[in-house]
Amino acid sequence: MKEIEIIKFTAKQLFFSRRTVVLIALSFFPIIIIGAWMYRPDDSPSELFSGVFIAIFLQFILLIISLLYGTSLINSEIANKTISYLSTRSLRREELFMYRYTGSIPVGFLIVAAPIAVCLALLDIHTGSLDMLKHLADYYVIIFFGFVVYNAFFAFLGVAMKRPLMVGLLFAFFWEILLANLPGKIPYMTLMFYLRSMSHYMADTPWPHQMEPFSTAMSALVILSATAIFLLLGTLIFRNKNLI
Amino acid sequence: MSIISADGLSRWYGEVIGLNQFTVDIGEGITGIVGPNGAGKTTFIRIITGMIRQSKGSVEVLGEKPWNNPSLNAKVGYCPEHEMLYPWMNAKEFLIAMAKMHGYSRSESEKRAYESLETVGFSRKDAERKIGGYSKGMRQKVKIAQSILHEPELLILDESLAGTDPIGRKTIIELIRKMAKNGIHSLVSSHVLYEVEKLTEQVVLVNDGRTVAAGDIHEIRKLIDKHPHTVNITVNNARKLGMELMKKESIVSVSIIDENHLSVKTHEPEVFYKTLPEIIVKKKYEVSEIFSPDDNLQAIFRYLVKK
Amino acid sequence: MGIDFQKYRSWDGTHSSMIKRVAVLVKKEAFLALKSKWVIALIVLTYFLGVVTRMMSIVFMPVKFESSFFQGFFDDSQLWFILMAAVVGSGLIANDLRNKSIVLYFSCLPKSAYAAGKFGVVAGLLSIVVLMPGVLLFFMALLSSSESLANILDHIWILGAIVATGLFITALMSSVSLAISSITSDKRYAGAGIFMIFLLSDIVAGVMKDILKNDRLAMISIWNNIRMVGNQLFRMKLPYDFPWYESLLVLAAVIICSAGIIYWKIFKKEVRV
Repeated sequence: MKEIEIIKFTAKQLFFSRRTVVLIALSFFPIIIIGAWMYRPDDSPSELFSGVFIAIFLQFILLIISLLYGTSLINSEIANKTISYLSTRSLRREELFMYRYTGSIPVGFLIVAAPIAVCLALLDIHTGSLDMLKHLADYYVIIFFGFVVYNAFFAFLGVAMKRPLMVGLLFAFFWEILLANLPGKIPYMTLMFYLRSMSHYMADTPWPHQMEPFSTAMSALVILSATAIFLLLGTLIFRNKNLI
Repeated sequence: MSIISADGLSRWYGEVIGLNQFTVDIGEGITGIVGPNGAGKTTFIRIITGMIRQSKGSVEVLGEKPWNNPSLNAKVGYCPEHEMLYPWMNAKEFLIAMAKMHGYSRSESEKRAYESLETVGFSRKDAERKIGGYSKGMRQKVKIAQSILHEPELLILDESLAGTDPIGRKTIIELIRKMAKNGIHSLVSSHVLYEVEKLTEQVVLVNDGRTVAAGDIHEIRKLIDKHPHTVNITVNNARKLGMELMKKESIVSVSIIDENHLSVKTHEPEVFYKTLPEIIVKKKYEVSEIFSPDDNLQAIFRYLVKK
Repeated sequence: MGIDFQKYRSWDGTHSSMIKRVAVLVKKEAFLALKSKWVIALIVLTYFLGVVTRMMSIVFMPVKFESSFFQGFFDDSQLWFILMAAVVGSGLIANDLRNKSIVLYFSCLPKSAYAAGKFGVVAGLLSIVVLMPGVLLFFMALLSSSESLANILDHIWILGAIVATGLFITALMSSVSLAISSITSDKRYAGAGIFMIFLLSDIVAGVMKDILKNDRLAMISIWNNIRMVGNQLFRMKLPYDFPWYESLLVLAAVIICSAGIIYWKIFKKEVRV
């Protein structure tokens, strides 16, 4: 009962915040791009959406939402001093951390899920088929895995650092995007590599690297392992953290 | 029986010492913890509520260690000093959520939420409004309500009387007394000794991270009363006024600082403050300033610490 | 006569000028920002990556004393400029709103002086990474150049281009970061917002340009416009196929919008604390 309540409370808290309005507006921006394409459809719909999905949904919107939500799960509560209400409930700290993390995933996912569906629907309306919408579930799975791993990382960052946002921005846009596009073995060290591998096999998005992508199963395993590591680290740190 | 027991508790924040070998045994009933700002009251409360860890020493609350202890959290209600809440919720939603986080069902949580709101004198109509629009007093009531939701064994109130109006203060004091009658122990922190006096006879005086005195408030009062009260006066003819004051029994000593300033020590400040205006008016002195450097807890503590 | 009631006595002295009072604000905030390890790190990184690496290339691989060498500094350091604007500018007004200290400023300063002071802080600190390294690079290149004095004097206008570009970027980024800072009381979201505005405009411009095959869509990106104006000042070939003054107008509109947001949030509306 209390577990569900923490998850629901966290989800509501994140959803009913002002930044969510901005994030929803941001998430619907790709629809303008789809609209622009419909005016001058040079590329095929799948090529277009692949580009939009990778460049905007995966490498920008997902990262920004995860960053803002993940880092604020515990860090905001401490900064706003409301952590005293949560930490004095009948919950272990480890549970509090995990349930807060769990509550953050559906909110981010819902914000991105709607515009993805709208984009695919618009493309299908334009072409008069259901070629794009049949891949909706694939895109959702990739986005879901993205939120699972990045929320975990940023939640860990949020308890490990007092000011996690700048480090988070550097990680998101320097490590995950710039470094992920470098030649050689460096991309293996980024989470985006595995998400893109999944995306390549599941949704047939373009593959930019020289080395072969990992299989969907392998990518999922790496992502879930990374998630487990970040959550374990976050839990350990929060368990011993002074809440002021 | 010891409700809270601290032995050699120390806590430092970098180079700043919050608590310094703090040792205290807090018994049943209502106990006041009194000290000036920065004395260490909130640090102590944060340690006993498990929000921070001590740097040294040991502490037990209801016989258990407070750090990361959910079973203890179920027995302790905490009302923090700050007034931060969740502005996007209303009081009813907030209390229901807090109750559910303690493990109560939806219906039970609602029942407890309404009962708590009624106990603190919060109207149902106001409970439907967003917390963001609440006044300071309303926020205080909501904070207290969330601390009593789960019928704790021990209630910890950190500066709950600060900033409240007289009616609000009266409500809180009555609530704490009522809870004490029902067997709920309370630890009330304040920097105003006289406020705590209305609640309890058991006090712990804290200063500079240490316990200065602990026990019956009347005994502590006697100690304070033995300490002469200083009053500094700026007047057109200090010498003449000084001579007049020396004739009064309540005066311990008079020091003439210069021709316009004198310092008076008295055992009975109330009598002195009644006599002084009479002398001034009768003898037509021109007084431009009266102030007491002792009129604060710091001075009392300085005195007690010296003892 | 009994107790002499003390009436209010206003201070008879001379108040210092508004400029001096604003200077107090600027100095205090600037020194506070310079205590941050992030700010120091960004300054060091910008100088190291922007100036030192370029100077090493001059020492080991003699380069011609020409404008593209210096314009490249601004292009390559874009990320550090944005980070600096986000780190320094995000909390300037947001923190005052959060801590409810903005009313303290308004009790002794008019709102215009407050806004000017805050602008001075972010512009001053940004110029350390935007303007000064460019100027430093110019003089270091000048001193170590093996080219003839006549040739160098022919290129002295480059210094003007560096200063103008530096000032322009500083003014633009300062106004954008202050505007974002005034919208929210949370410095973290202001910082993310500043970062996102520059980044998002870049991404959207790139994608739209690719889809609609129209160079003009590059104007959506703030940095593309800065590049256009910068290239014009450095007398280099323009990267996109539209007049540079259109980019200048876009950037001017961004500055005006930012000023408008600050005016609306600070001057016009009640400051809710």
